[in-house]
Amino acid sequence: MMALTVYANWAPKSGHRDSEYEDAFAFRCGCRSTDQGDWTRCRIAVADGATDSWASGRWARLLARAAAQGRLTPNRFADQFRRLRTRWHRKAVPADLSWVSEEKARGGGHAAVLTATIRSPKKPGGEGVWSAWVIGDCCLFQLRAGQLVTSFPYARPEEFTCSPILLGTAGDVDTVTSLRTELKGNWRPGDEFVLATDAMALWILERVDEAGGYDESALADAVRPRTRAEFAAWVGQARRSGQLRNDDTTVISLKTS
Amino acid sequence: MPYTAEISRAQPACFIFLIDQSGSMGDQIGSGEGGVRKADAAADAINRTLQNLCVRCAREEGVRNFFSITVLGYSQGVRPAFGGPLAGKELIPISEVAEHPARVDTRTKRVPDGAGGLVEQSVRFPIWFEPVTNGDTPMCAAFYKAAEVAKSWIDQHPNGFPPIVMNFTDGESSDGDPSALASTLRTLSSGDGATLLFNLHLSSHRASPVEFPSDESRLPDSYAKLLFQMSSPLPPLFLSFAREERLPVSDGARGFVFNADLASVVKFLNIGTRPGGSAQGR
Repeated sequence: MMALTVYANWAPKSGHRDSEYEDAFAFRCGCRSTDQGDWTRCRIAVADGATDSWASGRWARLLARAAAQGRLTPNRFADQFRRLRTRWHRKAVPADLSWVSEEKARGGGHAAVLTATIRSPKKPGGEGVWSAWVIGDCCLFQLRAGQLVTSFPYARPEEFTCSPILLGTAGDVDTVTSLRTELKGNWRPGDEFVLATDAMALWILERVDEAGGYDESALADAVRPRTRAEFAAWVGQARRSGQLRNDDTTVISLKTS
Repeated sequence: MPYTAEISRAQPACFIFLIDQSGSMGDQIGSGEGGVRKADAAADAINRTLQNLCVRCAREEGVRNFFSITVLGYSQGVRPAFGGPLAGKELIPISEVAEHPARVDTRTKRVPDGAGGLVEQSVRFPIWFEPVTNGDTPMCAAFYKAAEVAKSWIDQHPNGFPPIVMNFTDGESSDGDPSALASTLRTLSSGDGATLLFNLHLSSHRASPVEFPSDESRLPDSYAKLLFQMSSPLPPLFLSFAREERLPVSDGARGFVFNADLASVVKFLNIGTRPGGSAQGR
């Protein structure tokens, strides 16, 4: 039986409470039957709400959950996106906002979102297929035997900017659809998929750049399972050293075996 | 790298606005079409800038105090210009500014309709300041007072983003050449850089508007050139955000506008990820 292990490390921006964390992550796995426990498909998602927009944490959570639950897929994106946008609006824009909240809400919420679907192989122990789509600067890394096989959508630290393309709650749906980037690939047993929001993704790519490749030992503190306290301590030290940008920090990993 | 200190609730930034409220501000601006006086334009500019600052700080739970605001009017002396509950105050947290406009008007604005077009919508517009035209233009005294406020701020926040001073004036100083005091103001520094001085020149001259020039060549008179010379160069991060906003700025651009909009400076501040080329129709 093929097994999957999923774990996530997260920490809010320094100076922010947990309730002000505006990233989101989610996963959902489907099984053939509860008796066998074999999984058929697993979706994992991360989303990063833009600090300088309205109710962006709420938007990021809606997007991540919907993507992981198969309610935001490339083949039905426009309709599903409209429904999510309506849900967001109902909760995030009540009728009795102050003048300043009303003006801010008019600009809508914005978030980067990335989701990956990993499908089980047709034969036990064989290769499987995966697909992913992204809007914004969340990143996916596919690892195999300690090597970086895929880095999507960015491969270099300098590709990150302060003002990335984001998925907004207002505006034209067709434009939204056209800005999605997709990728497909194969995976083998033992591969690991790491999804990260921009601060962590940038940190990973900078370490890869420095070392001339993926260095498992250098990245373990960030990527391997940690308690909240352990990860918070690592994040604090990395931010103080200037290596990690002060931003909500999120990484979710799915390991196959 | 200077001007990159994080702006947050723990380490806010400081805006000091200087508004020329002298009698000469009662003259009409530019070509005189529309009957807009310089004082009307100044009041509108500061109201819009304060609105922009409040909105940038707005979150679901309230307005976060990323900024501290001082507004000084200068005509018969130099004094804090806010009225109502904010009267007489300096270094006011932005949340209090958002909570206490003098009144809130309703205006019509064209906004995206979600289908690629625009639709007219009623929006609420806060007013803190009315046009005032009365007395002289003690710009030297205004810069002197601004320096006192800036120094006090830097003493409290030695490593934070340095103060940003924005001067709205027709440039006709009545208490001497303000250049030296402007220079002194611009030497006051935090660990992140020197105080920034930006000037909005409101003029009766009919020359075309100018935004963030790199030299004096398009400026029509001595007042404009003096204010340009007194203005700080835009820091590198401001330049890159200005270019993202599609403003035609070149290296060496200064924080100076002539009969144009200075409120866009608020967009140059980095207080978190902003939706850049957002995935939505415009």
